[in-house]
Amino acid sequence: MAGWSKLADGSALDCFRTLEEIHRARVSIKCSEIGTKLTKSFNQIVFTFSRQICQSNCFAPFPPMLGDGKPIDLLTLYLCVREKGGYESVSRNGNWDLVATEIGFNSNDSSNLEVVYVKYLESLEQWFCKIVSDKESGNPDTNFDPRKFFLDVEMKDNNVFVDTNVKKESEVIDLENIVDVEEYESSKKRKRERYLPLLDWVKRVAKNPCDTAIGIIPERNKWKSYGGEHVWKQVLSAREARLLNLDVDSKAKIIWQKSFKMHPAMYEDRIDRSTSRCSQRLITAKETQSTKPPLQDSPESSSSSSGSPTPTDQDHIDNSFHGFNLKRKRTPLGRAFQAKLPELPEPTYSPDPKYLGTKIWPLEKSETRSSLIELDRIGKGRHDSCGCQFQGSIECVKFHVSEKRNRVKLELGSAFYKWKFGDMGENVAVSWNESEERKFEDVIKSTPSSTGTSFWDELTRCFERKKSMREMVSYYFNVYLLRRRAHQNRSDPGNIDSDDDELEKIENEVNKNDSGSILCSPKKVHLNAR
Amino acid sequence: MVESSSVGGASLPSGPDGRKRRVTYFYEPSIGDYYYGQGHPMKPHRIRMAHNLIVHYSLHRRMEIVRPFPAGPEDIRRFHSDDYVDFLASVTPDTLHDHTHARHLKRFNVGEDCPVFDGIFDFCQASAGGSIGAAVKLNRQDADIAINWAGGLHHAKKSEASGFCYVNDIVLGILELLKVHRRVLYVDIDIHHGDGVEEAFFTTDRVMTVSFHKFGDFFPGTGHIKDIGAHQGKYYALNVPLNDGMDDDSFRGLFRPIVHKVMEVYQPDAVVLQCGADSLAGDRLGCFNLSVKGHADCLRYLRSFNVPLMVLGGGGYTIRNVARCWCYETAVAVGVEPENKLPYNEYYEYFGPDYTLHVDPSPLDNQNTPKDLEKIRNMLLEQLSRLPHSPSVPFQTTPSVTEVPEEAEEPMEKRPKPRIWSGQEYDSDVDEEEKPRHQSFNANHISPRDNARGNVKDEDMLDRDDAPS
Repeated sequence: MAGWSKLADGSALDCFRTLEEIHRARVSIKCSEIGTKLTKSFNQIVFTFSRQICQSNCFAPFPPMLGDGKPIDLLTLYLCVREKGGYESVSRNGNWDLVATEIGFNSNDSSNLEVVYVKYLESLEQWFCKIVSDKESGNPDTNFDPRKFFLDVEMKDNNVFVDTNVKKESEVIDLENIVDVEEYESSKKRKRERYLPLLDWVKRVAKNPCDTAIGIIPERNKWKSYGGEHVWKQVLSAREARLLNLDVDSKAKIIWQKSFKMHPAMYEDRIDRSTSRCSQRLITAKETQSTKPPLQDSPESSSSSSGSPTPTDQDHIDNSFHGFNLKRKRTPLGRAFQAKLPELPEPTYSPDPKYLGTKIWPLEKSETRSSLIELDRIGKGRHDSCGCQFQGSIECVKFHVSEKRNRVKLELGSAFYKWKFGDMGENVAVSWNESEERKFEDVIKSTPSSTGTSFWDELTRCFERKKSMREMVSYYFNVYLLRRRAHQNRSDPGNIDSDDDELEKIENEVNKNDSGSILCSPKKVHLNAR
Repeated sequence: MVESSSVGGASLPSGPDGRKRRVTYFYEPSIGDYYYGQGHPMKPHRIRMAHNLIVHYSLHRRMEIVRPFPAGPEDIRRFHSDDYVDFLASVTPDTLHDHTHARHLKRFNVGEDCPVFDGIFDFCQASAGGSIGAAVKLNRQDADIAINWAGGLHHAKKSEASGFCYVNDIVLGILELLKVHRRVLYVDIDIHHGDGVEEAFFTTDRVMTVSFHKFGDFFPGTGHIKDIGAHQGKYYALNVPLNDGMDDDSFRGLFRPIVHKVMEVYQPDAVVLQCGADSLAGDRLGCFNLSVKGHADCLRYLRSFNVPLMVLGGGGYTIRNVARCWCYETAVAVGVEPENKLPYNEYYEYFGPDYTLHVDPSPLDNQNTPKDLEKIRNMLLEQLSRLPHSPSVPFQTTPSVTEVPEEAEEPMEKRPKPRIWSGQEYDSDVDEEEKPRHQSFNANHISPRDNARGNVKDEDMLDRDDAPS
């Protein structure tokens, strides 16, 4: 590995170059050759890459850990997989167990490692392949300047990068940020002298955060009362100033503030409401513009992902229709995602008969019912005309429903009870007395959804020991909503808020307007289709 | 008795569709009591409402109705990862914040869209048990159509809940079908992309997934027209990305030609149809404009091929319409056209003020232009034409020590024709109510039905006006 040490002085850009080198020359590097600085830079690249290039809104925790809290060194993992020919090859050859043991994990962890690889590293791998292949082929389209990219991302994003290794009591000192200050400054040499003491301090912290020479930093709420003569205060000011200057969007600021106190651990503290998986798959309105990330077109990815039609095919199809130019979300591959298929065919298929379930209908022959039951024709609807005094009134409907119910009961026999027809509709109210029913209604009315609290909490309190949650939910759907609808149908039939929506919507639901949630349906026209 | 189908613009001529099917319907009587929580749009109560309507329309008389055997954790593990199943089996709203569970919540994406509610695992077991049971029924040739409205939870991933789905009953059901059948076709008409099922079978050609869904700034974000599967499964995933306001005619204009072509080239041994009802007009979360009849036309069409058919539920958040839709689709499955005026039933008032089975879709702009639809159709038909017409390669070999069954070694020409459907629609002139039940379940076995087909007058699909042009 000639040139390795020269390259690897630890900055993100150099790390990037080194990796590019690895991809180009297809050399393998043993984990032992890796400096910790490089590891850090690599983490940084992964992080900025996922934010900038994949535009993932997810705050992936660094470093990733297994369920038992064992951290995974991304660079080691990455190099090990590259050495074996990359993700595709490792997956195809079932080498994940090997990878796991080689980098010091149990082979049981292999599928977890694969997940981590897919989540953190796979697109990076493809991206590198793309860059290398573009460079080799001298593709003029690649106007990618790594230097520019990494300076950009370092300046913008290091604020949110938290290194787990450095934390001191409740205060987390943002090492990367400090390193970043250093690099940032080095690009502006003329100011350098001024910041020397500051930089020295920062370096010392970076080397050993527990060094007593650093001095004690007071609680956060007392910071304001300290002046600029304290070095730590200067660092904070510098960071704050930069944050303002750099026009960091508000989201990043929130992360910055959050991360300051954050104890980074797997699966905690995300930026927004999207979940780790959702956000990977999330498409924001902005992204749906046809921004084609380079990796979509790389030769590697087309073989690995889904084999998009070849360019020649696309040439003679006019693809301007809706959806075609929207961004794609990749389907992850590997045994952590796909199902394992059964052999075919099973020589003798003899499933456990328990899966056939319990037959409820048709009834057993042993069950005798009167042969005089008058059966309705299959598919028969209702007759609208009846002898009731007020046709269509609530009473009229109640009468006919109960009449129909009795006929069904006669026909169904034991199935009537097995299907719990006793727990359907108005009949559920039988086990409730009048005061309980009134109480139920009052509680719901007095807990408007706008308060953001659930009326179930209140109901559980009121009916403690008298009604189980199951009974109350049953009453809600079978009696309460039904009566409410019965009333609406007659008083305000053109404006039904019906069986759902208005009544139930809890205030905090409005926040759910990211498309990582299924609850989000933008441009939703509220229809009044009954 | 109002017999089958020739009512309304969305049905096939009654000829090929008139044959009766043996229908098994799975219903768990406690399903309606599960409750996701206040304000949550997913309401298992809708399944109870649908069942109630089905019985009041007397449709039960045309079916066998079964209470599903709850799927055990070991059944669910056939797709889902061990730690995820352990988590689902043990988590309750009370233990939610215990240290061990709290750590898993985000990892498994449980909490927001997918809350932990009382009886969550029982619910999953009932849903999955129904779909596995349905598959067993079809495998044993005990039924031609098996219905499970509690199933169809297509977003669930191997180790992750998603979009109100925890356990992917569809994948489990298909895995069961694959024990007997070489090729299974999965069709998804939920408004959301069937991502969980597609992902599970993304790299195999033994399952072809076809999803019709709203695409663009919409959950879950997958399902681009260019996502067509990978490795061995390349070209065996089909995605039909649509825009707001899809109406019956537009939908049918895509569904029929595409599904026809799929049936022709893929020749599945069994079909699974996910009938998510959130593609109906006026859905609380959806933005399509389908009528119940337009929605059910998909089932009607697939049914006409007379291939073993599993019919599952799925999304659907305006619950009165969900009940309407699944009741009507049950009627389509058993070959009955129910009257429009709803019979009196326990949930009658939910269906006011009209109290009818069908409601008119509201006037809503269809943002899918005929030109767009045509381009989508042509592109997908073109993609389908790249498939080997009748899959010739021995299907995906799973790494194993087990010997490859003899049949797979046979040259293709000598192999028997696909078991049921031969690329042309079945003519129902021959009354086959009583079919032999005692044959081997070997998929490659020639059943007497295959022989019978030779005598049946085939109807050439391509003469139909709905055939792809």
